[in-house]
Amino acid sequence: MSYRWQNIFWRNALPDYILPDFIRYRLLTTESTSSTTSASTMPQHREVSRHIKVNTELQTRKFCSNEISTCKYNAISFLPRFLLEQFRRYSNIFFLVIALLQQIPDVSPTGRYTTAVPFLMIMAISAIKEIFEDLKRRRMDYIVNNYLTLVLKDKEWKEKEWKNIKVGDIIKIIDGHVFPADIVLLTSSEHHGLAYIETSNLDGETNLKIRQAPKVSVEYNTKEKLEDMQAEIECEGPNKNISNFAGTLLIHNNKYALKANELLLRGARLKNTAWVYGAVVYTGHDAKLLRNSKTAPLKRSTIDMLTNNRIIFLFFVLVALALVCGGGAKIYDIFYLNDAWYLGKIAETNFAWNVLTFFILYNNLIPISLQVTLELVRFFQAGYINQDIQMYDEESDTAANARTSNLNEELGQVQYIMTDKTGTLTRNIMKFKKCSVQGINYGNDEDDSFRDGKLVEDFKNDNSDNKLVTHFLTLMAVCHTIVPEEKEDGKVEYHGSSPDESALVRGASRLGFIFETRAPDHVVIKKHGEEIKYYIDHTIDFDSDRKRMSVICHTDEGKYIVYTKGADNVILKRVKKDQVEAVKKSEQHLSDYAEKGYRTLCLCYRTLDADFYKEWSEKYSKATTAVPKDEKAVAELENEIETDMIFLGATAIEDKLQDYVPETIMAMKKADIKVWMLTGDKKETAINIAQSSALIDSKTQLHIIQHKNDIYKIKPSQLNNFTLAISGNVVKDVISAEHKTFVNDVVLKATTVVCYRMTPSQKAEIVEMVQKASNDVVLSVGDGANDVAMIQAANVGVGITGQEGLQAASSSDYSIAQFHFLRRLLLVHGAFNHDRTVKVILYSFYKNICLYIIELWFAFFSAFSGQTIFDRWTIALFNVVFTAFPPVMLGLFDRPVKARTMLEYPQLYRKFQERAFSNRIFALWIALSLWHSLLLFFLTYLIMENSILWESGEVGGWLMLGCSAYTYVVVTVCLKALLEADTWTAILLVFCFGSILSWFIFMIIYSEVWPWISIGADMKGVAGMMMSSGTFWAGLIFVPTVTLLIDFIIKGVQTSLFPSPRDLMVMKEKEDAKKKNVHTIRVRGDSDEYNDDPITNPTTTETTASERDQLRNNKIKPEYGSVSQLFNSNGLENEDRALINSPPVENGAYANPVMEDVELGTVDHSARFNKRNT
Amino acid sequence: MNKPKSSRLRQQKLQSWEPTLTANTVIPTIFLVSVVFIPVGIFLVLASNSVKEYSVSYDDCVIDQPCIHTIIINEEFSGDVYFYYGLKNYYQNHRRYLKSRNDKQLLGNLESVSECEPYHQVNSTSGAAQAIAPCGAIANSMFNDTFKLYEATTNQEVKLTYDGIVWDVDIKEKFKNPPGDDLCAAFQNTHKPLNWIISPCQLDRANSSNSGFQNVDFIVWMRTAALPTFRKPYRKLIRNGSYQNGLPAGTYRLEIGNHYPVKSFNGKKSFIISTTSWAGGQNSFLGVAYLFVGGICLLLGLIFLFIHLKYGQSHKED
Repeated sequence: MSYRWQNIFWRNALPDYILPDFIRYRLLTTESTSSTTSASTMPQHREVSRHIKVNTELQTRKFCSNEISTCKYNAISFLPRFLLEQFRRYSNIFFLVIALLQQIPDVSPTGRYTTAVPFLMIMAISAIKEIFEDLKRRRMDYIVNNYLTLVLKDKEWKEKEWKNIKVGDIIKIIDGHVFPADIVLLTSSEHHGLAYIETSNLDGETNLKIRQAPKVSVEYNTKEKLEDMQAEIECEGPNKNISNFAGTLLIHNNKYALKANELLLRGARLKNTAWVYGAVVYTGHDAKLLRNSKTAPLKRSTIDMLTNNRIIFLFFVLVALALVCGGGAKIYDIFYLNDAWYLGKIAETNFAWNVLTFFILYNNLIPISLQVTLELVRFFQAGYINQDIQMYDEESDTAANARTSNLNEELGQVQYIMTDKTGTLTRNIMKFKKCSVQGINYGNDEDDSFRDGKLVEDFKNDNSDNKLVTHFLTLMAVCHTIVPEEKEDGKVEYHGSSPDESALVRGASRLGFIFETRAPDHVVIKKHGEEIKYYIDHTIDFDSDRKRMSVICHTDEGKYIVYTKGADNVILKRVKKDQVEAVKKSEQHLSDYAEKGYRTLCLCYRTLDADFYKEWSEKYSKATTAVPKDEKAVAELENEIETDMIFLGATAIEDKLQDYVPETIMAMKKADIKVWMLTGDKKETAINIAQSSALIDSKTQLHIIQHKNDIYKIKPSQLNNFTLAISGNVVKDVISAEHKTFVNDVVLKATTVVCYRMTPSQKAEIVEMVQKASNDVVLSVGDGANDVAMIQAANVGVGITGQEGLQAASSSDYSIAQFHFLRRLLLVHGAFNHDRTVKVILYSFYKNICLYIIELWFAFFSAFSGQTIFDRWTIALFNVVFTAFPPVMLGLFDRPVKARTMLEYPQLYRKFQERAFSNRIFALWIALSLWHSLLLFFLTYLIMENSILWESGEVGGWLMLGCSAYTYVVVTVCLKALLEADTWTAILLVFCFGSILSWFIFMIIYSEVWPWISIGADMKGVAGMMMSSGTFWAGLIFVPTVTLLIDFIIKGVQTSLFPSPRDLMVMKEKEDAKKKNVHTIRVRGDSDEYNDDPITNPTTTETTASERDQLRNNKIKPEYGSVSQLFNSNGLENEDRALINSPPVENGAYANPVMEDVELGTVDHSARFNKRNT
Repeated sequence: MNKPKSSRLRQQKLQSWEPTLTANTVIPTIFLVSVVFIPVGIFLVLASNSVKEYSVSYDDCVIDQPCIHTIIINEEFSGDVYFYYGLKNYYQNHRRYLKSRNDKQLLGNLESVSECEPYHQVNSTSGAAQAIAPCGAIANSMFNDTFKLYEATTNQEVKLTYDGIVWDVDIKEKFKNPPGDDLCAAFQNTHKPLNWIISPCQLDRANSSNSGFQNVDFIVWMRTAALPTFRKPYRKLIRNGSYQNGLPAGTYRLEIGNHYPVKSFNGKKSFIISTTSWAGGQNSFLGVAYLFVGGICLLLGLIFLFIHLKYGQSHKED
């Protein structure tokens, strides 16, 4: 591997997604480690601190290797681990037991290998899938482990593979390259040892971050100097905390306190810096990136759990059947076979053996292939989500991504949506809009961003002692963590983790306070042409507890100033009491801003006495560099410096709603999904956004629960159509057990709930509360790191890949680029997948019971001896070949209604949930399959009772009956799939008829193999004989037709007299298609032609006013209006009909959410929500 | 570019047809079923009715005593005439019975006796184990009643043949005698089934090619029945002379060599004479069922059509 090659490789071949993939894939957590090298060297105890000698091989102890392994298996561990995993599933244990039982001689009615073979086939499919995925990981690991980097050895920079890098090595990283391990920055090519890094692999943030080498090591900037450097590092043990690091660097007795700012993390990338030198501190699985990779909690869908219960139920049915049949055998033995001399000695049986025989005979009541079928179907369903062009965001070039396929059908079951506000409902593109300085408001709502010359004027005329306007603008330009980057065209771009800060800095620069340079110890601001340096002494970061950030700086004049900005409730507590007037006015402004939905910040400052500062500074450095860090002291010191502030004013930043947010929320409400908003923002902002995004409308009562006492004020009996707003500080009380009835009677009954001032963990608590109280499926959607907890707590977590990085997306189950894609994800994919999966499961149970219960009927004619009516191998292949594909095809290609219809009538979503996997429907299907098996057996019996079936007088025998019955079963079962399908596609037809054909082909071959292969002696010649019998063919038409005819007629009568909403919709679709070709979608060409969304692409149903009237009056009636009224005993029906007659969703219909009562034609296009396409 | 490809398959927009079961589809389908079923039913009923069958139960016969039954045929059995024996309450499909055979042995490998236990071998006087051929419970319980048919008036025996009563594959591929010109020599080192009186090589003394495993009666017995009531082919009428057109009307005498005991397990035996149609023997069930279902469909179709015309509101009326 040449260095050149590596260079190319690095730049081009290491895509950004490789590293987050590590996070996603089941990485090695210490428990699940199977890897070779790393596991054995991983310390068993928790390492509290480590002592590293730099640039020497002689370390005090052995550290973990830098070779990483993300594989689950190796050659030796594959089998045990794979098996262990597989046999965690009950069904697999069950089939193993059956396969083992079959090995007992003379017990199995179906030979020894008829379970083992299909079971092994199914296991092999799983194993191949696992190996395939693991090889992919292994290849990735190999590539990563063999990257080259430069290591200092014998005064030379030598190339070394990543896997050979050791703790203590000094390495050199070149611009654009990725750090191979966690290293302490020693020096860089830039002044002051500065280095810029990009951490998108770690946190998804694409902005540059600045790192600075310790003062004591900056000078060691050549390899010679480095070689002579005597350095040691004392630091904390490896941990997963990315933003914290504490340690000491000791160079020639010079001590330096290391912080996170000097640590370069594995996975980050060097940018805009020629090179850096660094000392390796954490390698391989000790690196923070790998420490952070954890498996997402395994979520199982409701359907999965129900299916499992059904399987357990069937298991007991199986046991019961085996016992009953064992009893039957006993009765026959005593009453009928007692003197059957022809059986002789072989008739002697005992009860237990018989029960075992029947247990094996009926084992297939539990569908062996269901698991694999479902996995396959879900895999492709996830593909549909990934491939959906209508969930692709052109702007960010992001398609939807199903990170798990286990929850596909759960998307169709959602009853609560918990949504984040910022970045989810809103765009998280911040614009500085207004501000309030000393009680005066500047700026207006109309302009896109701040445009008020008066502020600049006031600044120029500011002659007050305090120069408050100047401080205000200076704060905007200084108090932040933005890094400016000068582009080639001379423009300056601001990179920062907080879009609010960027908005403020941009706002300040437009007002003449241009933030120009960030150096390690100072920033340069150009104030109306005059460049001023601000030396940054300390930056106290923002976090969700502090809700404020401060910068302590001084100018050349030596004045120390603390600039603080933060949430109003935090800041107002910290200002001096003598500014009542200004604060009062600003508070008024603040609430005005919040009502408009703006994000507000309060600004304040404080001048410091130099001595006071020095004293504080010393204490502060001591507290921050202590190993481990003294968190309490730090917080106290920070608190101390941020008191007695002088109030400056407030800013308003606008965060626009994302596209189609109100439309999406209205659609969700129509689908009977309750949407809750959980936000860290303040009450007013939250409520305002809730209103503008159609969550709350002005007509409903809004109850605010701000204090514990508010809980008692709400009387559940008086409530009707109301909404709640709950503050973060009462969450604990609401959740507590004593208010259980409050939650059930009030909170869950509210049309919507807005929770404001929420911390990330509170969001998760709310999700859990709803899950527990309602037992419904909760979906969380969010975009930021603060939503991760709630995304993981919810039944389904959806991440928006937006402005705030990828953290939410990478811990989610599904990620989408736009909030409004949620509508499609739920209404189309969710509803479809749910419908399909339920069908697949019910159908799988159906076909198994249908076939295998025939054995029970046959038992009455075979003296309960356990004899099968079918040949053993034809039974074994039933699930894996002859009827394997129809359910898969149902799961992939069935479609209850058109996607557009789903989107036009979101009410269908709830209706489809009712088609779900309830006990009633399961029982119906079981009854149906029993009925079918009865018909199939007895019709065949009656047809073939006289076994003379040929003109040539020959007589059929055991397998003539068995194979005929089997053929009828296969045909019936395959055609049943067609009857159950809501749509017939060519591929479904091909597979259904192909399955039938496959049976015939198999049978023809199987009938000929004896004696060439020593199986199927009984089958010898059966196919030829069977197919030469006219009676067989007459039966082939008769039996399946009659069996299905009854289903057909019942279904037909149901559709005509008591149509389901789905039936009505399909009739409407057909009617519409007949009227005019509105729904025809041309293929080939632009993706827009696939757009069948009534909101984003209304053109396909462009209707004139008169047509609209007609449409409205054109009430769709079921075919037999009057008859069905006669028979109408079903209360649900009127409701269903009302649904059909309701006007469809159209673009613009929700333009003004306040005008809730949407009447077609009276739509008010409010300016605020004018979308790009109106 | 991460843009997904647009194709009908990926975008779930495959051409499809929704089979909504409204009157417009249900009623025509029902009529179609009746239109197909009624003629097929008529055809099948005619076929079944064209079959003549005569069945005589001979449970009154005493084991190993000569037994004669008189058969009066009123109408000529034209065409091929087949003779069957029938057994009732006989569980040839018992699991342990059905598998008590070795198909490899039946191909001529006399020593293959696995699966036949306990009817697999006997210990000869010398103490050495000797394989039973044919082994297993099925062979051991082979049916051995014989039937002879005479014209009552002329006392002339009706000539019957066993040719063509078993499946071709059975006689050609599934049952093979052990190699050797002398069949009895080939079977020399084996033991006959315990219940048998004669050695397998002597099953048909008249015709050695019909002996051993290739004996037609043996093959017939070895193709086990599916149900406890069954028929097995016995012989076929040789159609020459006065039997050119089949079995003429008249009185016949049936001489039964009654050896097979069934009373102990309440079994019933019968002898059946039958002609065939394209659909096989007499079984009116399928034809009647076709007619019945066809008729029901016709009726239902008419009722639905009436309801549809009287109450149905097609969307077009709006």
